[in-house]
Amino acid sequence: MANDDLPDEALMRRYQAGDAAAFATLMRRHIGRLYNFIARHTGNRATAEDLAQEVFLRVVERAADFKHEARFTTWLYTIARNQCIDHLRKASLRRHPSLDDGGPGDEHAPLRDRLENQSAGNSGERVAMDHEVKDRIIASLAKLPDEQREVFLLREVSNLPFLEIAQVTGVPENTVKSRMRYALERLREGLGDYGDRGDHDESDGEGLGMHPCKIVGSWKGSG
Amino acid sequence: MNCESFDDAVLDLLYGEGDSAVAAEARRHVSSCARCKKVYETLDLARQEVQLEELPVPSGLESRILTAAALARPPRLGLWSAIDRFISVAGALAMRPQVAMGALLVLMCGSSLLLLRARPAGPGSVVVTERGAPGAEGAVAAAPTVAVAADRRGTPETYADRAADKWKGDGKADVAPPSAAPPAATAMAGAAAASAAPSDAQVPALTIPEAVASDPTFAAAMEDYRAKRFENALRTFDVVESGGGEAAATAALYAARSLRFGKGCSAALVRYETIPTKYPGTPSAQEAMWDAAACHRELGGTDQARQLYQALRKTPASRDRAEAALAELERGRASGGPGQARHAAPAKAKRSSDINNGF
Repeated sequence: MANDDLPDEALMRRYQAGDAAAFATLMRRHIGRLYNFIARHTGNRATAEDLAQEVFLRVVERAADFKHEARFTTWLYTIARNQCIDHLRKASLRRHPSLDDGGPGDEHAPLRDRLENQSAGNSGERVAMDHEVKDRIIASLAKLPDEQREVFLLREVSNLPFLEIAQVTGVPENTVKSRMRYALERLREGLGDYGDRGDHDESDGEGLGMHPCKIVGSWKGSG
Repeated sequence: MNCESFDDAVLDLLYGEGDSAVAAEARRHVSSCARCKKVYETLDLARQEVQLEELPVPSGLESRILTAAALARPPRLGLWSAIDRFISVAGALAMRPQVAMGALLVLMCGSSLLLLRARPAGPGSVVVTERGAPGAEGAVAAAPTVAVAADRRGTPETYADRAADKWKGDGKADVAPPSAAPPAATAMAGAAAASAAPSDAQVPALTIPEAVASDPTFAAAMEDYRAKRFENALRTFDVVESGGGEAAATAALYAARSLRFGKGCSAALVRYETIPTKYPGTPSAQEAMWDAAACHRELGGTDQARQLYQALRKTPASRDRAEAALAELERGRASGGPGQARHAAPAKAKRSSDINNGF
């Protein structure tokens, strides 16, 4: 059976037996979400690049110790989380530029630049609104307590189920769900003005409203 | 469902996790409870609003990781993990009374064999060559593994040195003799089991093609094989063989050898005998026949060994060696069995009479 069709744990067994191609498949399968998780957790892309590489090196070094008692992703994100915690602890006194504050020379231009290009024909007002929404989301995410932010990112970015997040973070599943709920509520509060503006557009004031993300979605689709 | 239990289930409902029956109940509750409906809609809205854009993975990161991984040490069971595992397994086994009785039986049989083997043997019986032991990278077990049979009149070093000199004299100094025989081979030698023909050292080594030797999976398997981790080696060689291609025949041969040194000839024979059928005309097929013959001799199957030698004699490259092996076989039979008995595994009941006759 080709490596691409195998589950993570079977690939790990192959790698433990010396199949280097199995590791390459595993790495390519998870690098995107892992990189995004670290980048959003640390708020720095260069750091995320280094830490992602370090995480996979740990996987190589400790492959023989992986006992197949848990899912591979649980093990991978436990390593990644520990790397992030170590990094944030060391860097607690330093200040990093925001993830989406890419400067003029930043080759990884932030999302807003791409949106600007896509929306060249759209009104400047909507583009500006979208920028502000994104800034608010990032700012709200940064303001979240670490334990809420990591749960939010593990669920939304890494797509881990709550049970697995509980294993990664070492807390009960109900605690994970509580943290997730608080995180969602706080992030929603961070967008309060825009949410309210959207709500005001609704006749009954109770509906979902024309919130900014829906606006972005509509003009992205038309562009 | 009440509002309290709904609060516990709302995130499962939101993310499609948890029990489907609970989710269905929660949905019914939402439709009839304004408070819980608002909770659900607020969370759902929040979830939609705070979608984070996926950041692209920087170009070159994947290749950097793969390069770094290749430079890092390969997966290997840590020393302490291996010790821990050994202690736990050994401890669990030692707690069983059957194991103690079995150990006692083995001790009694072993001491009986020592008494049998203490009798003097001919001077020609002291050096045993064992082909197929782990060798240097790129070459297959061309060097004879030197072990000392049950001759109590000389020191092991004397015979080992003598064999090493013979090795160098054969012009094979470019392939270093292995530093140690695999455990099974050593055990067999200790029990006076000489399974290979004396002329093995004159036979050219099976050279592993560069393309095969450089295959990372094959190389990892060879590393396990040389480190005597035969179980791992067998598993990995099987993976290489199942992948087909140029490495399959060599991997099949080494899988059989891993089985032989790990579990003994009786377990390996079936594998050896399928290789000439699966990979006819390859050097690995020839080597498999040699190994199979040695195994048959070790297990007392001189007729099967003879048939294999006769088949090998038909190949020009193997003729001299096969004739020498056949002559050795006939000498063993003519001398009434001592030579054969020294080659036989003492554990085999059918060989015990030969051993008694010979000593």
